[in-house]
Amino acid sequence: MTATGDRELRRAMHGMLRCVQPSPAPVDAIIQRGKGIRLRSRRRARAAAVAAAVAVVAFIIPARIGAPGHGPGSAGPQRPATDDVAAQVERELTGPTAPISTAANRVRKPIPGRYFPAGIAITPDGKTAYVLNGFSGTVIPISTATNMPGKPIKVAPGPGMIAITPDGKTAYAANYPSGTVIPISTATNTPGKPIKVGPGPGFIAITPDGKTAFAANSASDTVVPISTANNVPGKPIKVGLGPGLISVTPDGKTAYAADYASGTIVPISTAAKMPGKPINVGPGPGFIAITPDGKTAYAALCNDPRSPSGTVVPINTTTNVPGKPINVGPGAGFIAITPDGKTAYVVGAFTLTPISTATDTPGKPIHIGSDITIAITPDGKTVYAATWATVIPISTATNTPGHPIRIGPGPPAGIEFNAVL
Amino acid sequence: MEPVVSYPRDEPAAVPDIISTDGVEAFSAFAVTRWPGLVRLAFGLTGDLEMAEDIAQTALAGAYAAWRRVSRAEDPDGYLRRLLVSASIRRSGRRPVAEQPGDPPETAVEGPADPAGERVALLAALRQLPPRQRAMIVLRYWEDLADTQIAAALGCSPTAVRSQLSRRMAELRVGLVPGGADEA
Repeated sequence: MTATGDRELRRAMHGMLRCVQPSPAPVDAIIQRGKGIRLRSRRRARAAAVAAAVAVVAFIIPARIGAPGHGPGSAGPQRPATDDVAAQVERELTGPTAPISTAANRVRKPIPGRYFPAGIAITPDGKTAYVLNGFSGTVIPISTATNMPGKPIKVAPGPGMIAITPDGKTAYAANYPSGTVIPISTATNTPGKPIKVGPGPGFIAITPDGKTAFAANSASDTVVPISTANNVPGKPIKVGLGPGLISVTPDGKTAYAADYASGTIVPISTAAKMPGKPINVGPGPGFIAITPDGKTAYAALCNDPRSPSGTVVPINTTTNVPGKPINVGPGAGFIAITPDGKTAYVVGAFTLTPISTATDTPGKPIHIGSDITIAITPDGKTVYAATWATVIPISTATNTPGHPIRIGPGPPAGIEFNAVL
Repeated sequence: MEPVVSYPRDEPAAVPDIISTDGVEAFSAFAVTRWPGLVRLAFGLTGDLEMAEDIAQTALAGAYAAWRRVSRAEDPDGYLRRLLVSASIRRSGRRPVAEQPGDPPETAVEGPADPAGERVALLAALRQLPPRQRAMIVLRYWEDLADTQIAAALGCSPTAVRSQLSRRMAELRVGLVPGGADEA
């Protein structure tokens, strides 16, 4: 194998870096630090100005008293301080004496977990796909008949995920930065009062009976049950580190939380709202999806370079024992299973790979890009792949991508918060 | 050398053009959209996630301090990249990235290729390069930058980039193939 050509090197590089999961951008800390740099460069500029003024005075006084060697015009005062902040900044960052940062401005401990910049969910009647655009802070309904986007529903900016109740009446949008879940009436497409669930809800899943929505709070290592009857959050359930995702079995008895940072899947009894024994699946489980028959849960492990694996691990839900890993290439991220349960679609760093659930073998990869979330229509005919700015419909019969649907504004596909995805 | 896969990049080409009076809002949008790409690039340069996030913070803080200029720059991403690369090279000089590469996977994963193993080898090979050369490789194969853009990020000439890249590539080839170059 020529693992050394440009192509292979690029592939290895992308496989490695795509899986890096940054914390959400610490904008406030960055601004504070930026202000510090500004202040220091201004002080330095002021000091330079004072020094220049002193030099001028030192130049003028001897000239007045006729000191030798300082004829007028021999050395004009230098232009005092530069207000060129950019140059100062660069000096600050690159110069040999530059301080890197003060203790107070140090980066805080990264928050583990996984977040989705765009989320997508399809109504049970299959007529509408609701797409969360994390950049613009809106949810866009798309008619699956025409693939035309409707009027955006204002929620809140930032990554998150969206889920729809089985009766199709309410969509719940989790918003990571604000620590809330926003209910949306699908009849009127209007948002309701945000539900406070605590730091970092990156994903949401609803029980088949529609009574409970579980928000996975990856920043607080908890799962919060929300009663959909009154939209009141319950007591947080402690799981592993960085639960980026949660999935409920079709019988509604168990919710599986994938803990990205601790490499575990924690089964939660939905009745008792109590966590069970963690299942060790390997590094970086970013996603979990359960087959319609409820027998198997598929956990996707991203190829984290610190602990490489690159696989999808099937878990027997009866015994909670993980099976043999299926290699799907770098960056396994998001999984959706067709309603007939025959195919699991896995989003990777480069591709969307269909896996036959009967044999657990991967099929031919579909090239559509990376950092996406997917949802499958109830009739199983179409996979919708969502990014921040576009949604791509893919026919499950031919596995070919269709014409992209613009849901902008927002950066083109591929933005990830921690993310992301 | 044709690009193998063409999928969207992390960094959009243009800055959000809404610049509020104090610029904070515009900067926030800029920072949020650039953050993941910056951290990944910094990870490629340093091999350490915590350090990568700190360096990305440093670069963005620099962009904030010079926001008036950055927001009006023709290529704000180029500016940001330069700040990031400078910060990472400085940091690498201070504390050599010499930790052992991650342990190989305990159980071999069956499949046509072994991307995991390839990644470990890549990380190890990159760590052996001096910081500037490492930056060239990462900017070329992760950011897909042209020689001139790499030169701008590193503050050197495109000719230097070209010659260094070909030389380092040869070294990297040896490093990437277990047992030396004979397997290639």
